Amino acid sequence: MSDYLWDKSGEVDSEIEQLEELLGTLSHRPRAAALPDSLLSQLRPRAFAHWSELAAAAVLILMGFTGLWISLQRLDARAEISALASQDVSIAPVEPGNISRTTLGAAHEVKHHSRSNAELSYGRNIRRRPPFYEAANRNGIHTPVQTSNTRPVNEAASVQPQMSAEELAEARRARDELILALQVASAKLNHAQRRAQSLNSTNPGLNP
Amino acid sequence: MKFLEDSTMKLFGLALLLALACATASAQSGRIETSGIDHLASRASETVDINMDERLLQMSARLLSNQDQDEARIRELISGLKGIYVKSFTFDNENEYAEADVEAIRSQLRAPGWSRFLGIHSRHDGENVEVYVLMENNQIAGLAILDFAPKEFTFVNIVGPIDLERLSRIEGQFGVPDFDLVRESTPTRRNE
Repeated sequence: MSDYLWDKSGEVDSEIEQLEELLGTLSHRPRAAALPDSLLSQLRPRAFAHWSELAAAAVLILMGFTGLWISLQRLDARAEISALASQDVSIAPVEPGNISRTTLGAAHEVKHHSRSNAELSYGRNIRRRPPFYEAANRNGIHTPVQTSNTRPVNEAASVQPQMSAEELAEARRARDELILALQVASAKLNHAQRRAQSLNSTNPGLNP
Repeated sequence: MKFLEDSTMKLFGLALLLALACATASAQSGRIETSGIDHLASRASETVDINMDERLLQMSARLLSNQDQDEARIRELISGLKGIYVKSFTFDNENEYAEADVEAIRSQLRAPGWSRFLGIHSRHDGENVEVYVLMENNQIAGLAILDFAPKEFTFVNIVGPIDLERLSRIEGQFGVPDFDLVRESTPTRRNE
């Protein structure tokens, strides 16, 4: 019997060599112990981990500064309007599209400041020329503009402080359009009724 | 090829039915489709185009004061309304709109529920005024006023329950003088 089986010395036993080849794949191969990936990712050095926290902090600080800046701007604008209010001056419109002007007298005006949402009010007896006058005239609806006939409107009492400047402007436009639409509807309805009445009075036997 | 033709015809028919159903549903809800007369704006010298849906009505109502009598009246009048739509065109010349434009509106007012409340035709000045109401459960659920003269075309559509008495009282209120609706050629009553 050959010693090949014990220490690979002596004559090669082909049968044993074949078995060695077959079972060799299962032999022990020494390698380092591997840790699970989930554990590895926790142990890996996190060079950029703090960047997100820093970015979040920066955004918060920026938001804080922006809020502070807006508040200061509003305070400035309010102070500016308050200062002007104490004087007998006329305030010129800054942004014609966003400012509603209300005439009190010869030299007094009330205005809504779109940036600050501040509004001056000189009391209840405010004379206001509604913007739908202009819209009506522009659109060809015959509305003779006579400011002396206009009835006072207390806009300050109806202003919603919880609305933003944009919402307020949109609501004002909507209100003016609503009044114009109702005026047209009412005028047309009355016109139809008047014509029907005149027709009936001329021809009592007819029904429209 | 024949299959393709059949399919096209079927699709066309389906689209037509769908359009008709939409128009009928719209008319029954009180809203009259006016996109068919939008092209008149290009010919008109003056145009009024107001489209106020429920959201805008609610928004404008927020600015109407309860303390002011007139504003409170308007607030009451528009409560429950779903929309107010006005289209008014004034032309420099006559015959700027066609009968088809009138028919585009009028055909929708023949839908179930709508009834002509008033209709006046003047041969003298060619003005036509038609007032339609949409009735639901014996209550007015919509109003349509169609007024067309040789140089003017106006259509007013109010969607929702509307008090005609209150509406007629709006004219001349809110600091606005009465609308001057008397045209240059005032008709003599005899010829109407």
